[in-house]
Amino acid sequence: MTKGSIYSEITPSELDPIAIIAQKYNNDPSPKKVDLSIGVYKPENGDAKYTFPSVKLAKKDIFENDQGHPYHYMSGWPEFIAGAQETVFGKNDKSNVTSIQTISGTGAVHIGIEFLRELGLTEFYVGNPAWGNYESMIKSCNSNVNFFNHYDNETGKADIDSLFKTIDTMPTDGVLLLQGCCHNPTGADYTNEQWEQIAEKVRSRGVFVMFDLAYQGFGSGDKDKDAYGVRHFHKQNLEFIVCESFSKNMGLYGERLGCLHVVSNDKQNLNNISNLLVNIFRAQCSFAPLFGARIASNIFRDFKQQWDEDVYAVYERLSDLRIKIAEKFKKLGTPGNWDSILKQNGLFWFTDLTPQQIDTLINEYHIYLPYNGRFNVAGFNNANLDYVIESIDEVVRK
Amino acid sequence: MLRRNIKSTRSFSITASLGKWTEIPLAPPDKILGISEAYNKDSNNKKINLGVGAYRDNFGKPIIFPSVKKAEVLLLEKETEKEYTPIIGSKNFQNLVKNFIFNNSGKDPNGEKLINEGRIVTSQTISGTGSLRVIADFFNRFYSSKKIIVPKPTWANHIAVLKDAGLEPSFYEYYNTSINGLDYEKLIESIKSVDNETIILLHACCHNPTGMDLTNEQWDEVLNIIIEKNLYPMVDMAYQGFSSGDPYKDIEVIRKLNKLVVDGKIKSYSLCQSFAKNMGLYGERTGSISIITESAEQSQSIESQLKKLIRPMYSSPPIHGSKIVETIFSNEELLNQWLTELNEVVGRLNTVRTKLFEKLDGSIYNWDHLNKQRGMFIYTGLSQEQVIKLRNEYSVYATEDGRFSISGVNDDNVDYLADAMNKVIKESK
Repeated sequence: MTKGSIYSEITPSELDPIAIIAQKYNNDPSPKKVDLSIGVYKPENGDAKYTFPSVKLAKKDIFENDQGHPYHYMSGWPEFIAGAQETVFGKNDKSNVTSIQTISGTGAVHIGIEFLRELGLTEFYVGNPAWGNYESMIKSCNSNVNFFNHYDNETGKADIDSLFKTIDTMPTDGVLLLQGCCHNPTGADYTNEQWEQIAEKVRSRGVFVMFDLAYQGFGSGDKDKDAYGVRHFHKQNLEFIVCESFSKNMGLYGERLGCLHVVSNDKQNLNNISNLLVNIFRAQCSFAPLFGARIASNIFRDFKQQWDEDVYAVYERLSDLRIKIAEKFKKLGTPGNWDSILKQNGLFWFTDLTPQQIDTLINEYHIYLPYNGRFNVAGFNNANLDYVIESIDEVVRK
Repeated sequence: MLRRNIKSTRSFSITASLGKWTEIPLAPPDKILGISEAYNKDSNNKKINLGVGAYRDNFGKPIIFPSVKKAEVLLLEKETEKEYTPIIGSKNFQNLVKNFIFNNSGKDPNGEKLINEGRIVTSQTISGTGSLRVIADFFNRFYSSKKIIVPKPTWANHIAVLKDAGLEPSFYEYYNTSINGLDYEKLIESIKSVDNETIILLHACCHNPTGMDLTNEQWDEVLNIIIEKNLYPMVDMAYQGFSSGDPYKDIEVIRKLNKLVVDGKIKSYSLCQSFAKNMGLYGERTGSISIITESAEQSQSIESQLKKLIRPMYSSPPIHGSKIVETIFSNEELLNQWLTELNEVVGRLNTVRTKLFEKLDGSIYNWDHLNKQRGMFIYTGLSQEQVIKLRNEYSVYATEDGRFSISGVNDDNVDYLADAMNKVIKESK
């Protein structure tokens, strides 16, 4: 390489598609514009800065009893870790779990992939469609990604047969990446019975499962119920890892709070596992950020009930919107089957609108969503719901 | 470090559903952490912790900079937004870092020129460690050489971070404990002997762990070798302000590099920095990387590649710390207050350094190096045995390389510490 061209081989990388939509939305001067794209919860008034009441209480407490900004522990803030484990595993015996605080859910998945790579597990199986970041995350760790079909367009539900077939045929040192609840982007989750079947098959095949739990509580309003799959695996003495995020269910998006949990059958391994996790993380970030962990710790300790109510309120609002959307379609008699809105869980509503139809929604109706047809349900409110559904109605009739 | 284990673990059977973890070897525990744990367990009420590199006041307590607290008051009232910040941090944060460091807040015309020409790409990162990791990953993907040289000794984590990112670190000579000083001749010699285009890691100030920095003239000579051999300078600046008490004075090497770039003598360099120490934001993980590029067009490509690199690692950086930094820099009164507070912190470290020097017995050990060293540490030159003896017999806890974190010293324990050090040296004579 010559002296004059250190970086000349670098070409611009494409923008994240969701970032392009956000940019377009921001530049749209129309007063009618509606943002239904990025996966952030918003209340009825559309305020994107909405803070959960429990978080407000915790922040006030931290502020008044300020413990400063010290270095803490390589594996994370201990009170936070304990509460995060409690949130995921509930009353189950957690003595076979070791955890590390991470840079939110992305950080947990990233460290999880690196950790598994250290064990030689590098073939990942991911349901498609999937969260857009999985593929690049797995590839950036030099592991491989394989896809199976996750969503059944006909029924609007999870394609369980495709999953079963994958478990039956994937290599035994493969990793199955499953979302614990509120599947992103389809909102199509496995039922409790299906989780039990999955656990049985996973055990008999000896494959490994990595759970991504980013929306715990948004599926049923009850964080315990939403953790059914994970807890069932745990009760069945399976070995697996869980990538947990508090971005959504505490609304701590920008504070980057998450946790990676590793379940081991042999408790004697926990020390070595923890050590390996710390070493991987140490070479990337040293420590995870403290502020979010303090907020969560305070909530676990003093404002747990308020938090439960906050999460339930989110679920209630989302369910209410889903019913209203379904009713509106019914009233309009929109061609096509729009029942999926009622079958899907969580923040998202996954439609089979075509890219052309979405293009029309964006350019002619100022309604913004990503081209995979995923709506952020929380972006709807009483003021814009009729307008959006009527617009969809017009577009599909065209 | 870790990747080396892959091959060995890969050969073990991992097909069994049970006991997938059994073959994980126990990695060595972090030394500094181990020291803190041992310190916490010690019941001696005279115990002193000189391990961790975090500031303590004269009463041995961690501090919150009052300016930081004021910023938090403002943030609490405003209700910090909870939405994601962009992958590389907010524009405001990037711009203030550029202005503060490269433009030296309006005092470096070369830096200003680079900023105005769009030749600096800045990204917020997970404090200093995260900045090193991202830049190392970036070099691994895009730079012509994987070789990087770091001073011997250097921050304990440098090697692990660089290796994990796929670079090949090795040492250049820096410090000689037998003379308790910079081994300047060997330093020059060893830099001259590396391959062209090798990346060279430079500590901007307050070299960790030795506290011994290059003089102005020495910097010039080193930079000349960098130009001659077409080495790539990567500056690590964790302690900006801790040398002189003034963050603007501590960045002479940045000013020199800016000039070299503007004069066309080097094409690019990079900076990793954090606000962990100089704002006391340790746990909030607030830092940045900056890459000086050859053109505004190239900056765009590099910025997009940084986003691509960071997105699968952790999506976006945490905002609490960066909001504090942004708040302080957006308010001149608060900014001046912070600069004053930082000056006081460094003033205390220097006072303690002098007091300790005065109490140490210069007739049995030459302590002159103490007064030459700068920053949070003194690199005592004590042997591993002496450090262990201090720990076991006097409850003085420090890393075994003889690095003392000076902020653990205060008016109440300086006599005890000096006495213990004098005794240990006498006994080993």
